[in-house]
Amino acid sequence: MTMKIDFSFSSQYGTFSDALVLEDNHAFTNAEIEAMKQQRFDNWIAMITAPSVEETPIEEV
Amino acid sequence: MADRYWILGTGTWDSTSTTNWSASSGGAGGASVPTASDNVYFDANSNVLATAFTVTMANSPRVCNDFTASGLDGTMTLAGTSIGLTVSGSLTFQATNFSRTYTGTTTFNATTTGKTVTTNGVGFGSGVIFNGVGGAWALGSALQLTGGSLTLTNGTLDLDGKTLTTGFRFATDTGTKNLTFNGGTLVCQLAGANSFTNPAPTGFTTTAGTGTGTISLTSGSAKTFNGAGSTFNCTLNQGGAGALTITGSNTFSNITNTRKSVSATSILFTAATTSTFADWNASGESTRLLTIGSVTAASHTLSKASGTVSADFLSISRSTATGGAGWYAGANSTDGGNNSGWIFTAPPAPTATGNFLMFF
Repeated sequence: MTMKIDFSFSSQYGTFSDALVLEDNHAFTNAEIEAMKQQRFDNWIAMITAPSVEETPIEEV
Repeated sequence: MADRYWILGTGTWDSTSTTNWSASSGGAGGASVPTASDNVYFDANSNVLATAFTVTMANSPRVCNDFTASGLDGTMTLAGTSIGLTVSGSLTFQATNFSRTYTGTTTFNATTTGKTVTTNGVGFGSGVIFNGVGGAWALGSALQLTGGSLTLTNGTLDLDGKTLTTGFRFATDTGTKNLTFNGGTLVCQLAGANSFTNPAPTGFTTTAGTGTGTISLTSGSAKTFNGAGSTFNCTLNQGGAGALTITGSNTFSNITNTRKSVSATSILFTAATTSTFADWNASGESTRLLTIGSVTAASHTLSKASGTVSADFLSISRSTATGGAGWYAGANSTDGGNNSGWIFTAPPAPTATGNFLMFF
């Protein structure tokens, strides 16, 4: 079974809304969970502030 | 429908090898390779002790019904070069001990409702397609495409209050498709002509659901929202420094400019189009004006049926404001010429009579 922790951050790019879906018996501390939330937000900011380039089609095998 | 559990750690998920598949968690190998109707599981018994392991997909596309990575006690990497993954049910990635390196299209093709997509912070590196007639998927967590476009062809994609970020573009394709927000946000990062593109508007609908949904275009370079005349039951947001061009005669619930807290920017409309808004909340700030104009040297039309637009710090040109609402640009806005319908003052304060009546 899993539990879901919804969270969101506001930024100049708009609101980032996400959820941590963890197992009910997870061993994460509150501090670790907060760090995971921050990491998700930091990763998102890094993604949307990276220079965007045109997509290169992938020819699948 | 059968369940298939990965065992023995590192191995290849191809179309023939049964070495790594078991009918039970940690059971004997030799079970058949999963089909599109089988659920696949990667769990604490998928590896040897708690070691890291890699599942390399081959023979595109690999298929399954539900894809579940949960309970992993060693880091699993889902790999494969130019290999696709087609999921006919729901998908769940574990928040920790899971990574994805495969490059190829991920397709969701369920034809029934009630499916979920929970990537738990793991981004897709290539394109993602939702294409299931009658299918419906809700996001269980934010969804990020670090590379590739998201294409909505058939079915209902419910953001369910989460943020969906496309590394390239959001696009529609021929089919019956719906984008539901329920308070969620679609972020389009791509610069250029088709950051959001709607080449197949027939059969495309949007649903607000609960809360306020948003489509935010965030590129620091010029980008285009190609709405193709559809109705967008959400807020369109200018979220980046690059000029936002809106093509087509579209209908929006609202328009905003979150970039105003950082810099000046522009929202440009295609000449001879009519953009209809239920609300208008796009303004600039002092020293950071928001330019409203046309892409070419001809006018566009903005329409709002009733109420009052109360903007400020706009620089407006070639803009016809109409529809019945009072279009107040604000006392700090600039008339750049060739405008009609805009009132370059603040809206009148509520009357004492009005306040008196409201009191009773």
